Amino acid sequence: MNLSTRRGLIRNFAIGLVAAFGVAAGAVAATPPEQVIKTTTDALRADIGKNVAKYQADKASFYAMVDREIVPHFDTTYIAKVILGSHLKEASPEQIKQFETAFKDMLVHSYADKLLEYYDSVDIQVKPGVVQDGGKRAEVNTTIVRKDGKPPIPVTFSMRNGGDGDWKVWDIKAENISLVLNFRTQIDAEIKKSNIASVIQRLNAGQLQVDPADAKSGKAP
Amino acid sequence: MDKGTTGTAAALAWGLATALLVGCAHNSPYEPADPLERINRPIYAFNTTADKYVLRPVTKTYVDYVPAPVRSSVSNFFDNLFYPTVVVNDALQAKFKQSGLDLTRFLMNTTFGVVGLFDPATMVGLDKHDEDFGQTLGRWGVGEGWYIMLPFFGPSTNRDAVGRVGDYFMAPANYVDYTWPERIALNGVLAVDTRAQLLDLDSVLDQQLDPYVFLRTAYLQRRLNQVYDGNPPAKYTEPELPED
Repeated sequence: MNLSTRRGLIRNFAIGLVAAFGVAAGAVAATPPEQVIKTTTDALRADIGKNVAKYQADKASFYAMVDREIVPHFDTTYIAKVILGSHLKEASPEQIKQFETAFKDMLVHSYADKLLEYYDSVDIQVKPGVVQDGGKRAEVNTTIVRKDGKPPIPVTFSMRNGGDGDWKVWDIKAENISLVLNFRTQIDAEIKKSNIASVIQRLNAGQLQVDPADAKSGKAP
Repeated sequence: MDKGTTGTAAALAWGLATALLVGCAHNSPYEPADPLERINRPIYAFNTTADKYVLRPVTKTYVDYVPAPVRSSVSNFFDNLFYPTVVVNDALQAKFKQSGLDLTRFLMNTTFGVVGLFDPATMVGLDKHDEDFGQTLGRWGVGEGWYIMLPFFGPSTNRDAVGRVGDYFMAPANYVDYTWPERIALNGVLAVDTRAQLLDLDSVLDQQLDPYVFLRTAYLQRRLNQVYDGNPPAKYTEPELPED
């Protein structure tokens, strides 16, 4: 039947992603990847639990906490490079830096609200990380268990060891729907239509919104 | 439907399926075949508008006024009503043990679960599986082909559109002689129930640069995940990544 096959399309994507996002904060240096995820989960959720009223009233202080506690555990430079994808070689180091900043702010503000919404309605189980690629990369699988009894959501953190010994997150996948790689596809289409400088400018100005009705927004020939 | 029209419909469906599936290629979700983008986008815009003014407000009202246990039973009912398609698709993918367990699940929920309103099967460890004919075709090696946006039903691909038709014929519920008002009511409730489970996604979608591309990528990523039961091969899920 028609809609039945569509049931659960990207089911729980938002909640999984966001719960997952919270896990990544407050890591300790030189710890195994799953430990980075695990030990910090409680700290962040405890912080939100303690300050939820304040954060809800004062979003700026919440974003500041997220900037301070979460962002350092993301490899934002690498994320910027992944998102630039095939356009990386056209980008100047300044542009990569600008891109990193623009993407970080958008990411943080977009998802922090969800974090605030779901922090206490889920439990997170962290499985041992799978280290790959000679110790440079790791995948940490987690399960987001929802307290309302709905099916659990598998969430995977893609992490990399940037050389300074700290495992950092560069992608989050909820049911194998990748946040960063999805964003990469959107940016790719925008860069092909104009250029990197224009995309950065529009990202910073918060103007990068594509009208879905715009049939011309297909890939440039 | 009488036997004659069913036969004609089946023949038509088969012809259409063959036409759609010929040359269905495997693509990365990041470089999909979307030659119909210029048609897909206006359809997506139409779906968004229909959702904004009809489906979403109705669903919000439903979620606000209907208690959670009742909504849960409505979900269970539809899951169970179409569960035979899962049993059949398990078997078509040679997952015979899973097929048997899923049949048991269906029978248990239909009887002890009062026509599927409750889900005692999950409580005894007969977990719900997610299979459909689109996934079966994928398992058989059929690529997804073109991304297509269907009016009202949303994202699909050539392969998954054929899958929908296959699933339709696999569900015993679709052989019942409903009257049109019954049919409309049933599909209406089904639409609202499905939409209710996607409400969380709205704010994520709103924040994307290009919701059309976001949905396309997410749909294709999700289908890959389903076809490979949670372990899609890296060659499809990871584009070439920078070294550092």
